[in-house]
Amino acid sequence: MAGLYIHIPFCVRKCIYCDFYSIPSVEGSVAQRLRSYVYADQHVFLDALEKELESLPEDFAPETIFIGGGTPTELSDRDFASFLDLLRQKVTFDQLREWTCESNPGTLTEEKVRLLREAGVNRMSIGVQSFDPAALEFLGRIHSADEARAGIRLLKAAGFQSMNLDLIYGIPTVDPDVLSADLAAAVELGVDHIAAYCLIFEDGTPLADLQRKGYVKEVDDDVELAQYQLVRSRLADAGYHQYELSNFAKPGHECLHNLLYWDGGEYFGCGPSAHSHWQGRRWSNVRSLESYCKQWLTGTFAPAMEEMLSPEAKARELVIFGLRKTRGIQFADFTARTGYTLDQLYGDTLGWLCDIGMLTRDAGSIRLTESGLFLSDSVFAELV
Amino acid sequence: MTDLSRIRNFSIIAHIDHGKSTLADRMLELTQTVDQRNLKAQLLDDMDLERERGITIKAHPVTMYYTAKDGHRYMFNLIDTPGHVDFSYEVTRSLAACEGAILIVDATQGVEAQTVANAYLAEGQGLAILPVINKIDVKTANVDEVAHQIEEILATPASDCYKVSAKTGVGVQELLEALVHQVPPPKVTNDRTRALVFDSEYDSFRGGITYVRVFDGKISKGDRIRLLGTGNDYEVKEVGFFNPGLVPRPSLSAGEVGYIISNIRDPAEIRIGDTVTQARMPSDQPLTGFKDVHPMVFSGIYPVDTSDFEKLRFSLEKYTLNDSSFTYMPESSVALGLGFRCGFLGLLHMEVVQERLRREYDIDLISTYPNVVYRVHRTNGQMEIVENPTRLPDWTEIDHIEEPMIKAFLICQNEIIGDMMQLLMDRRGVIEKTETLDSRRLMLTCVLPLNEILIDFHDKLKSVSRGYASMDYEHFGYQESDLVKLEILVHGDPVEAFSSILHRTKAEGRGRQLCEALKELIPPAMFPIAVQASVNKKVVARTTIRAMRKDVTAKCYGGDITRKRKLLERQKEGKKKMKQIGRVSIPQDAFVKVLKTGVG
Ligand SMILES: Nc1nc2c(ncn2[C@@H]2O[C@H](COP(=O)(O)OP(=O)(O)O)[C@@H](O)[C@H]2O)c(=O)[nH]1
Ligand code: SF4
Ligand SMILES: [Mg+2]
Repeated sequence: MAGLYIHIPFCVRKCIYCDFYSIPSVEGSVAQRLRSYVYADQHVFLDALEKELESLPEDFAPETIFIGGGTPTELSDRDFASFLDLLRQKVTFDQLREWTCESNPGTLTEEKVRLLREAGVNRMSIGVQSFDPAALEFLGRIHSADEARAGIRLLKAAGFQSMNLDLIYGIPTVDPDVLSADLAAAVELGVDHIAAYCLIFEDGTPLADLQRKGYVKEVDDDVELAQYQLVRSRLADAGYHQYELSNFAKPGHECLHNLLYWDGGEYFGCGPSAHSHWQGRRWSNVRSLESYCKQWLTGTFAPAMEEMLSPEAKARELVIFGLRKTRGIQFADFTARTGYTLDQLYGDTLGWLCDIGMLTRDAGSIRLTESGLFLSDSVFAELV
Repeated sequence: MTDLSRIRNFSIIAHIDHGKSTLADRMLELTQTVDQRNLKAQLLDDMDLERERGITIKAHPVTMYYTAKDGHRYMFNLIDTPGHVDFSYEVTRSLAACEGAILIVDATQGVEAQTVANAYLAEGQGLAILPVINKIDVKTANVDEVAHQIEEILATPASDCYKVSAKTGVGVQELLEALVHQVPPPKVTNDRTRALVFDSEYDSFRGGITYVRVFDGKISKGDRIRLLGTGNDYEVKEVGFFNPGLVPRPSLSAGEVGYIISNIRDPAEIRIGDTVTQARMPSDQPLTGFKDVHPMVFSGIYPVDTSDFEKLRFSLEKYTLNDSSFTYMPESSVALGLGFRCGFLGLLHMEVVQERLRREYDIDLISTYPNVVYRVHRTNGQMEIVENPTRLPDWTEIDHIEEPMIKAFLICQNEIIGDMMQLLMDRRGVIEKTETLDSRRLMLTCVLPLNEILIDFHDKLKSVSRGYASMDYEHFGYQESDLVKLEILVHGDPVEAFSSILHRTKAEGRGRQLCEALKELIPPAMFPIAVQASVNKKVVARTTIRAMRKDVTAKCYGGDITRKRKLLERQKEGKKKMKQIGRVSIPQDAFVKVLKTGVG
């Protein structure tokens, strides 16, 4: 099983917490920017992307495609059409099972929705984050709750069955009770997949900057924990099954592309800052639109990062990402894939992690306990 | 050779800032030992640190010539004494080299604790004491009251006090004259050569320089001398007087004070209090009974930067050349790495040494919580000296423990007597005497364990008295005490570095303090961590570091597996850098903070 990821590095403007590589389209107020937007960069970008897609192996036939960013739907309608055409031309589609495209409610147009359907995209992911105006304002989102609802209606009307909705909790200055309403609203929209993330203060973001200067404080651990628990129980009640630390799906609607990452699967990532994993090698593209275009248009591609892991490091990596899934790691499957047993790798550490209630094991598998979920980074740090 | 009847050997004892150095300067001036041009103010204190802290650490003798009213020329040997009880052994050796002592009291301040302690030392040595009231030129001088205090404390008639101004010189001439009449001349008591070693100095070119007071016989250049304490013989390369620099002479004879340079390469061979005699005709009667000085206070010294270890070793080596009372032994601490267990004469000595190492050798140091030296009596009857709390035998093997005591003299204002007594009682002190000094002040004499003043006692004293109280002490032997070893257990495992020896009644309080401090310093783990303080396996205090609440980075996106893995690896590395006690990680910082300040 293999996947393809495409990174579209544009956004209308940067959200306060975002550390993905994307460049805001223009400066100034949103309205102004939407009006005066020039699509110059995008064209060059599509040319470079074409080159990169052409470099993929002849026999590469992805089972999943994920178009992310940035904001893919930030491309102009015309460019969006050429982009989808490009994919149809350059990618082998005969193995494809899941094709997801991310979108930002503020940028969905009827035309784009139509193009997506036509191209064969069968799953949409919508960055709603919250339905609370204060939260949206704080995060720097460009859309309102109503626009988010409208976007989802638009997609549904166009026939999209499978949809993910992103939510963020643990937002400073926002009443923790907002989460309850957000969850209810998400459930009510009837999407089959919800990803709920706790806000992260990533270095280098304006949010982290504000924190450093003392304007905002991270939400207290206890509150975050309570919110996480609320997410889990509410979504469970609504029939969503938690299959990963922050991912919930109606049975049978898990995101295959994400599972690929956690299962140590192979994938190509195209576009600036995208990551690839192919035949034991991991690499990433430059985190700069300009360099990316230059490299591919002049035939001088050079990965920004590249690594080949030793078999043992690979096996460990499989453990720490595999344990993100609630079903955990199947011993037989693990040994078949890596040649190691978990006991070989970890000795009595696994037993100890079980003793302190972080992991639980049965005859065939090992997985995080509920307490383990909340402390998963500490658990993984023992196993990495 | 000077006629014995024309020699006067004396020292000056005083509380800090009461004018010892200034008076010495005036004397040097009046006797024309140094001319006006070369007289640097306060000639006697030449170490920066001394000057900064206003204490005299090392004795610098000086020889002066004074022509008295009787027309005779007298040799005055002034032997300066270190002004602090940590060096009381050196003080007594210096005093032993004299027949008299000038006791200075500042007329504006009155008698202070140090004055009392040192006056008692001089009295104990049978010296003639000349009480001097200094700074009479100052408006606020209260000469009569100070004279009265001196009478109270020293039982010297108030009318016998000399009233001087070391600054203006008033009364100094009279004082010089009094030295001639009040201080007895030296007496010869033995027909074989004997000289007392009262100090030494190390010169990188000339080796060890021995400071001596000759009691009997004489020592000349070319003689073979013997140090009775060590039994080592040396050839005398040079002898001379301090005038005030080293001035060579053909010989030193009975009653005189001077230096000997011989081929002594290892300064540890020169031991203060030792007796020098002639190797060919040795005396078999040492002068004062040589006593090895034992360090009273120990503390670990570690370089902050572990790569500075060799530099530290080198610096300590160099340092001991001029301070043989300081000892050090390599030790390694699980928490702090390689360092040294260092022994000091007392608290001040410890501070001085640490400060000099920092400054003169430019090393960042961590010094650990100090402790005194215990005498541990095992159930099998053996006695063991324990210099490091972590080396205490198992409690089942201990019959009893003795700890060093001090006799402290404290002078304070009348109105704070209540707080003062409370403070002393908190420190397990037994007050022996309370004496009225004057209308404002009292003097308390108190016996208490040395251990109790190691940490923050001076600060407490100063805060209770708003800076007015003064204290000095003398060592007062060992006493059996209900001492226990306090152990700290983290998640059930003892952490040796945190253990300490202390009185049973203090164990719980200190245990609680340590537990609370560690609660702040040990990062939460995936499980609750119990921090316990225990005495003889019985828990006396405990606290729990509650488990970490949440450590999950929910987002893992876009296939950037590498970054996430590296973050986790960094988290793991960070943990590895900490000290693992069982499954608990304790940051280096926690050790440093707890061991250094001793918390609170
Ligand atoms: N006015 C006045 N000041 C004095 C007198 N003797 C010493 N001092 C000052 O008191 C301070 C301490 O004197 P010092 O000789 O260093 O004291 P030491 O610590 O005993 O050596 C210095 O500032 C001196 O100048 C004196 O007789 N009169
Ligand atoms: S829309 Fe998404 S990619 Fe763009 S700035 Fe916001 S969070 Fe980042
Ligand atoms: Mg002085």
